[in-house]
Amino acid sequence: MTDPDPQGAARPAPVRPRPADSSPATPPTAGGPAKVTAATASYVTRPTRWTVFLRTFVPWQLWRFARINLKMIRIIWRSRP
Amino acid sequence: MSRVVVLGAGIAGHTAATFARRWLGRGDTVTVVSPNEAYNWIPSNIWVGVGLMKPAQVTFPLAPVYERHGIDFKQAAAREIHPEGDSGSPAPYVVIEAASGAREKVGYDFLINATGPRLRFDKTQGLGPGRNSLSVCTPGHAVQAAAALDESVERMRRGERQRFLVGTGHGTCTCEGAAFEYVVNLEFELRARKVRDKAEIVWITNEYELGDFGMGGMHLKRGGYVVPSNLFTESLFAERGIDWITRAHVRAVEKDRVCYETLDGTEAEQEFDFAMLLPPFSGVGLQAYDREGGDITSRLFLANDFMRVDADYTAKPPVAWVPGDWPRTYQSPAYPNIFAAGIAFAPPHPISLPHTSPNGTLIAPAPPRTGMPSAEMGKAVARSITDMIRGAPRPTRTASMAEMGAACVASAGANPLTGTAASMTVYPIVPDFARYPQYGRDLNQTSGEIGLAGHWIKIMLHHMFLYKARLRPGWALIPE
Repeated sequence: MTDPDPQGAARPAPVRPRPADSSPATPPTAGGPAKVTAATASYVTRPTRWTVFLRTFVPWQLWRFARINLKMIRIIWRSRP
Repeated sequence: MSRVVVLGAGIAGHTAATFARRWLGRGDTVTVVSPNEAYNWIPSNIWVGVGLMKPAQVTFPLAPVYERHGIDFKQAAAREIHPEGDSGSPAPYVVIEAASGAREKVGYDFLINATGPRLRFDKTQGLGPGRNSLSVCTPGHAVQAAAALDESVERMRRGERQRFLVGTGHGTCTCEGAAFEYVVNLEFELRARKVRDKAEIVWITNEYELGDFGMGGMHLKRGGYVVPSNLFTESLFAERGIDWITRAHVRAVEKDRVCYETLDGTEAEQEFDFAMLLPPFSGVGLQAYDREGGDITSRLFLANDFMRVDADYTAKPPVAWVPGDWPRTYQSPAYPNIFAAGIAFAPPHPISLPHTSPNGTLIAPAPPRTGMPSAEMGKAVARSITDMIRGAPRPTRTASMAEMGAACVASAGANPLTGTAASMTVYPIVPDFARYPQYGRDLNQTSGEIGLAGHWIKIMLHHMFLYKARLRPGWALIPE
């Protein structure tokens, strides 16, 4: 049985933490957002230094290279008619 | 002997033509009609647009490749389809037109429409190269963008500040992923050229949330949670200091600013010194005629000039959308010997939820159907036609976007040691809430991460797919 509002039901509610002030850091509203300035968008998830380091840490990325390729091969294989 | 004619030599058309040639007998002919003399690996155009590649690195001449492999090539644009022939003969044919204006009839037994999009810069006032904004849709456009970038960098080196605006130039654009790649590569390149502190970068998009990419975004398992992809896109933009405007329809592009409307009906302006804005797409505008010369274009095409195929085009609200709406064989319901693949087929509806502003402006990303899905469609159509030529009564292969996954690598900076790319897999492309009730997709097959490995994969794919497109030894073993 299909969901009565498939895409709508899966869409996440905007329940991210809001900043204390009413600066442009407020996440987009349902109506239409103003321009969001990256520097003040404090509600946005940001990576830790460790995550940023791993993104270009060659030994870790060699492992991810192999892993991502396997994932992609699996998708290609599953998508074959 | 059968004649297969392929209109278009992009990813879908080239794939269809090469596999048809491989599978059909020598007595059968495969003819490709394309106005372009070169094949273009479009995903790498973004690197041409930031000056990291030359057009020759993303293109190659088609004629020698086709000649070597027994495919006829006609450099011309398709204009008309006559699926019932004409009063002189019932044999179907297409009318093509060379750059010189000379017209020619090309007969076919099976026709594949893979003409790709018409770039509709005209839908937004002032949009496009030669007007007030740039594009990376073609190698020529990308070269212009790279030259404009060089000029801006020179200004910044002289101490001026520059404002860069990148995104979608209309409320119904698709290919947000390509514009996303361009904006993050642009930011990376400005850092590499040591002028980032002089640049303000703004992303403007018709997406409801960042990371929608015309496919309703996706959900990923991360850190013990299932999280929406917009968190990662917002994070990447915030980390790189890229401001953003979502849910926007660009009404006009003036010399130094865009005028846009957002979903709440607000009219606003954004100034720029450099704007790379993608256009909306339509079909190329083929006309169709019956045997008596009557116009039957509306039987073969929708109003947006994309070709009707075996999709369910009944108008229905998003709540009623089902995977079965999406085409499986890409066969024309009007003429069983005509197929469409890639961007040329008419999707039944968007994947992302469409929205309308209080002013009645539709702000809805069109569904993406480029890259891997296009190639899969081309290959499936080629196999079906081969089997039908050998006696199968109907198409034998399917490639529904609601049943296939996609692997996508979005470059976020090109450098072998410091570059990154977002590597994404999604299954299926069109959410299936009957099979995956909560999120519409298989979360074990839907993934995304940013890292250097993605950049290596992007470089590998660039060379691998150009190798494959050149039909070098073993090309058919390389997956789509």
